[in-house]
Amino acid sequence: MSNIPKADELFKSIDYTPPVTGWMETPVDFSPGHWCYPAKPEKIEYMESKLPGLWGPARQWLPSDADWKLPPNWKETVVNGFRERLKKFRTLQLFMDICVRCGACADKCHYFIGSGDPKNMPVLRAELMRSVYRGEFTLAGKILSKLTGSRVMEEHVLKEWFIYFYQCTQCRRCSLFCPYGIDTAEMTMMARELMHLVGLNTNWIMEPVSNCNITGNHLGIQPHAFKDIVDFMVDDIEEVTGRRVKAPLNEKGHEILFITPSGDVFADPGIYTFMGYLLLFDYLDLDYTMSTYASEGGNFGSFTNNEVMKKLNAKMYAEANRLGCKWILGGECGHMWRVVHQYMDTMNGDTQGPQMTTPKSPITGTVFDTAAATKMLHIVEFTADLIKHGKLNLDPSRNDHLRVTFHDSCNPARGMGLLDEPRYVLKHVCNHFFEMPPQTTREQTFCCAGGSGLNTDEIMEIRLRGGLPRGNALRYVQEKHGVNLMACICAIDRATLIPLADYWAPGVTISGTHELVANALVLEEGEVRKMDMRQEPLPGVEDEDDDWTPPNMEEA
Amino acid sequence: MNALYSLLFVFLLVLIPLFGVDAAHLRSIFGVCIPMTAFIIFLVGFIYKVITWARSAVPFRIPTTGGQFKSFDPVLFPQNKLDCPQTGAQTFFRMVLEVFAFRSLFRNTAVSLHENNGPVVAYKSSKWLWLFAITFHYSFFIVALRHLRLFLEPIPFFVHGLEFVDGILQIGAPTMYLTDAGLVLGVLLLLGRRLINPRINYISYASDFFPLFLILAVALSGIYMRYYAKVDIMAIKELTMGLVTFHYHVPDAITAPFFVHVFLVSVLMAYFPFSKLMHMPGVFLSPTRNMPNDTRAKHHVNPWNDPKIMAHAYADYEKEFGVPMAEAGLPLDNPENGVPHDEADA
Amino acid sequence: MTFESQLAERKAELAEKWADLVLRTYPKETQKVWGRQKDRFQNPVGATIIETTRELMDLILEWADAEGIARSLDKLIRIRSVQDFSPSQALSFVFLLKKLLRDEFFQPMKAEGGLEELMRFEAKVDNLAMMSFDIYTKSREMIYRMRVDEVKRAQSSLLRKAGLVADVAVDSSAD
Repeated sequence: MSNIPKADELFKSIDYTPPVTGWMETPVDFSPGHWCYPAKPEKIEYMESKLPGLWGPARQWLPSDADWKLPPNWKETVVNGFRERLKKFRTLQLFMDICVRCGACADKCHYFIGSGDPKNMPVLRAELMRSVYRGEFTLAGKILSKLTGSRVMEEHVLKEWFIYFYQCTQCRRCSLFCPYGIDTAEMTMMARELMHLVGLNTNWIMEPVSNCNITGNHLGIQPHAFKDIVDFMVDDIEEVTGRRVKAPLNEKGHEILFITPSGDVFADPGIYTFMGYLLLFDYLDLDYTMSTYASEGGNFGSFTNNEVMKKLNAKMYAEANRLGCKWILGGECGHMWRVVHQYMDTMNGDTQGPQMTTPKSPITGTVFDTAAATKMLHIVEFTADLIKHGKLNLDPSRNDHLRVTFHDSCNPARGMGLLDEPRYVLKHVCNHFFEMPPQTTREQTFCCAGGSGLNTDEIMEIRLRGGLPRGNALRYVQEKHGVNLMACICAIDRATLIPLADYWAPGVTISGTHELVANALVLEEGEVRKMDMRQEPLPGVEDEDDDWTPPNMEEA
Repeated sequence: MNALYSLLFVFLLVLIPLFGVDAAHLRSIFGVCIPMTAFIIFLVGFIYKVITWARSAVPFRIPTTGGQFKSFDPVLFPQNKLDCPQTGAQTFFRMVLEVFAFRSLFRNTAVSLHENNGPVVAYKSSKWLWLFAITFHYSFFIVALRHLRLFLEPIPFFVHGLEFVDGILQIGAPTMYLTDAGLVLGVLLLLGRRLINPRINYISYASDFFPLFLILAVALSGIYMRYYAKVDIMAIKELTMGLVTFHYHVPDAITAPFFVHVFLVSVLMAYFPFSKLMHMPGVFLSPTRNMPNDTRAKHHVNPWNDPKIMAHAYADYEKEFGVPMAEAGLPLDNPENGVPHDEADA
Repeated sequence: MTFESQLAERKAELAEKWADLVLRTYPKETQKVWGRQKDRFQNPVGATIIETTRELMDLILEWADAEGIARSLDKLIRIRSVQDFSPSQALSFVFLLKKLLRDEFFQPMKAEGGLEELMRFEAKVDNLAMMSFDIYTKSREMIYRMRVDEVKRAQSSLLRKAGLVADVAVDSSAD
C-alpha cells in the first residue's frame, strides 16, 4: 500500500502549470492550427501587377518554417511603413500614445474569453505594436526600454504579429468599453498593412481579393457560370412557390442595382437568403438588376489594406454608372456594410455618376436621406419600410415551427448602428422571437469568431473557442426558450455560425433574415406553401397530404 | 519589480530637493529655475504632442457606434443620440459624457444573469474601475483648481466657492479638504488595483506605476505642508506671484517641505508630455468618439485619397469573358467581345 | 462513517478546490479573471469549470446517472478540446480530482488503515477518465467533420453546377 505514488509524483512527468514569464518573453506556438496558410505566390504576383509596391516578394513559405524568407530590407520596410502610417492615420498615432493600460478591455475579447491566452487581451494585442512604437519612435522608449515596455522591431516580433493580428476579427467590442475609444480593429488593420509590405499574408484573404478583382466574386466564378447558378435558384424558387421569378443580370436602364455578398450565391445556407431577395423583388415587381461584374458586396480588401479596399469597392459605383442605375441596394452582409457605411463615400464617392440620386423606395415613396451621400441602402431598411407601409402580405405562421433569435453582426452593430430594423422585420415574419441576454447582443454583441478573413477551416479550433461566448448565449436561449434558429444579416455569419452552433448549441440552425421573409411572404391571396425555402416540408403539411411527392419526382 | 523601481525612484526624487536646498543652499534653483523649466517643458511638450496628433490625418470617419443609428423613421426606430450621434451637437454631448462622466468605463455596469441554482438577474459589474477613476480624476482636478489662489490676485470667486464646498465637513484646523482625501484614496485604489489584480499587473510597466507614485508623493507632500508643517502661505504666495509676474524672489520664510512639493510637481510637469498621462488631451481627439456617424449621408474628405486607384475596368472584364457571356445570353457593351477568337481571326 | 459520507459532507469545499486546480491549468493572469467573474455570459469558461466540478461531485457520489455524468463531462471537455491543449492536458482535469483526493485524504486514511476505501473510490474517477476519453475523441471527430462540411457548404452551388452532386430522382434506367 505504501507504494502508491504520492499525489505530486503523479504529475511529475507532465507540467500543467503554464510558465510564469512576462509577455515579451513568452514564446509563440507556430505549429499548424495556429495560423492560416500563406497566399499562393501567383495571387501575390497578380496583385503586385495591379497595385505595385504593397505586397513584398511573392514566395512559398509556411509559418511553421524557421525561415519565413523575408526580404533582406524587411525591417526598414516595416519601420518606415509604420512611420508613414502614423502620419496618415490619426487613430494609429493617438492609440499608440494614450493607452493607460487600465484593463477595461481585457476581458471583452471573445478570443480571450474562450482561450485565456493573455495576448488575446486587446490591451496586450495592441502592446505588441505599441512596444515597437515606443522602442523605435520615442525617446523614452529608446533610453529606458524595459521600464517602459519598449522593444525594437525584430524577426520574432514580426512573427508574433502574424499570429496575433490574425487572431483579431476587427469586431470592435473592446473599443466600445475603452474610455478613450481605442480601437483594436484599427491597429489590426495597420499591422496587417505593414505585414503585407513584406509578404506576410494569408491565402484565405488574398485569393478572394484577387478573384474579386478579376471576376467580381470571391470564388472566381466566371460570368456565364454565375448566371447558371442564379438560374438554378430561380428553378428552386419555382419548386417551392410555383412562381417563376425574374433574375436580371447586367441589364441597363433599371432604377436599382442590387449587390450582395457572393457567398449568398454560392454557399449553403446563404443561397436561401438569396432566393428570398429574388422572391421579394419579383413580388414587388421591382425595377432592378444585378451584375456579374460587381457581384461581390463583401470586401476582402478591407482585411488587407486601404488601397485594395478602395479598388474593390470602386466597382460598385463604376457598375451603377455603366448600367445607368439611380441607386444601389445592398444585401445582408457585415463587413460589406462597415465599408459601405464608413468608407465607401470617402473613398469613391467622387466617382458617382450624375444619374445617381438619394435612394427612394419606388414602392412606398420613402426617401432615405440617411443614405444621401453613398446612394446605397441596406435591404433590411428597405424591407422594414415596406412592412411599415403594409406593402407586404405576410403570414408569419409559416415560420411557426421556428423559434428564432437574432445575432447582431459586429460590423452593422458597432460600425453602423443598424440594430432595430432587423428585429422589426423578424418580428413581422415570425411569431416566436427571443432575444439572447443583453450583454451579448446589440452593441455588446459577441463575434462569430470568423470575421476579418478568419473564416477558414484550418483554424477551426481557434474559431470554436472564440465562438464560445456567442455559443454559450445561444445555448442559454435554446435551453430556456427552445430556440432552434439563429437569424443574422451577414454572409460570413451564415458560414461560420453553423459549426459554432453545431458545437456549442447542437440543434440550432442558421439563416439569413430574408430567407424567413420569403417563407412568410404570401405571393397571392390564398397561396398555400407546402415547404420552406430549403424545400423542407412545413410541419403539418405532410400529415394532411400523404400522397405528396417530393418536387423533383413529379415530372419523372 | 516594476512597481518597486518606480517607488525607489520617487524616493530618490524626494531626497534631491532636501539635500539640494538644505545642504547646497540652492534655494533659487529649486524655487524658481526648476519649476519654470519644468513648466516650459510641459507647455512645449504638451503643445508639440497635440500638434503631432492634429497633423496626423483623419482619412476615414469611423466612430464606434454604441446604439441604434438615425433611421429613415426615427419614430419607429428611435435613435440612441448619445451613443450613436448623427450630428455635431449629438457628438458634442457624447464627448461631454465621455470626458466628464467616463461613460465608456461606466458601460461595464450592466444587468447580468447569474447561475445560482437557476438563472438570477443581478446588478453587478466592474464599476469599481469607474469609481476609482472618477474619484481620482475629479479630486486631482479640483485640487489643481484650488491652487489657482496662489497664482491669481484677486482670487477668482469660483476658487473661493470650491474651497467652501470642498471643506464643507469642517473637520480639523485648517479645514480638511475632501478632495485631498479623495486624491490620496483614488491613487491608492488605482495603485492597489494595479498591484493586486493579476490581469492588470501583467500588463503594467514601470511607466504605469511611476506616475501613480509620483502623484501620491505630490499629494502627500502637499498635505504635509498644509496640515502638519503649516507653512507660511503668504511667503509662498509671494514666490508664486513672483513666478507669474516674472519678478523672481524666494522669501526666506519658505522651508524644505515646500521645495519638495514643488520639485515633485516639476518632475510631474516635465514628465507629462512624454507619458501616458497625455491621455488627458488625447481623449478629445479620439476618432472613434469625436466624429458623428453620418458618412452615408455626408461626404468626408480623405486628404491623401489616391484617385489613381480605380476599379478593374468593365471593358477589360468583358474582353476577357465576352465569349461565354454571349453564349449565356448576358448583354455585352461591345458585341465584338462575344465573337470567339478563332472566328474573329478567320 | 463511510468515505462517501465523508466526501458528501465536504462536497462543496472539495468541488471548489477541484475547480481551483482546473483553473490552475491556465495562465496565471487568466486564473483570477476566470475565478472571479461569475457572469456565465462574460466568462463562460470559468463558469463552466465551477458548474461542472460541482455537478460532477454530486454525480460521482450518487454514482447512478451515467448519462448525467457524460453530459456534465461533455460541457467541460467541449471547451478544453478546442483550447490550446494537448489531449493529455485537456483531460488532466479528471486526474486533478484524484490528486485532490490524495492530497486531502491519503495521510489520514493511511493512519486509520482505510486506504482500501480511497482506492475503491478512485476506481470511479478512473471510469470518469475513460468516459472523458470517449467524449474528447467524439469532440475532435466532430471538429474534423465540420471542417470538411464547411468547405462543401461554401461551394454548394458550384458542386451542383459542376454536376458533382446529383439530386436523387426517379429515372428510366433498367436497374
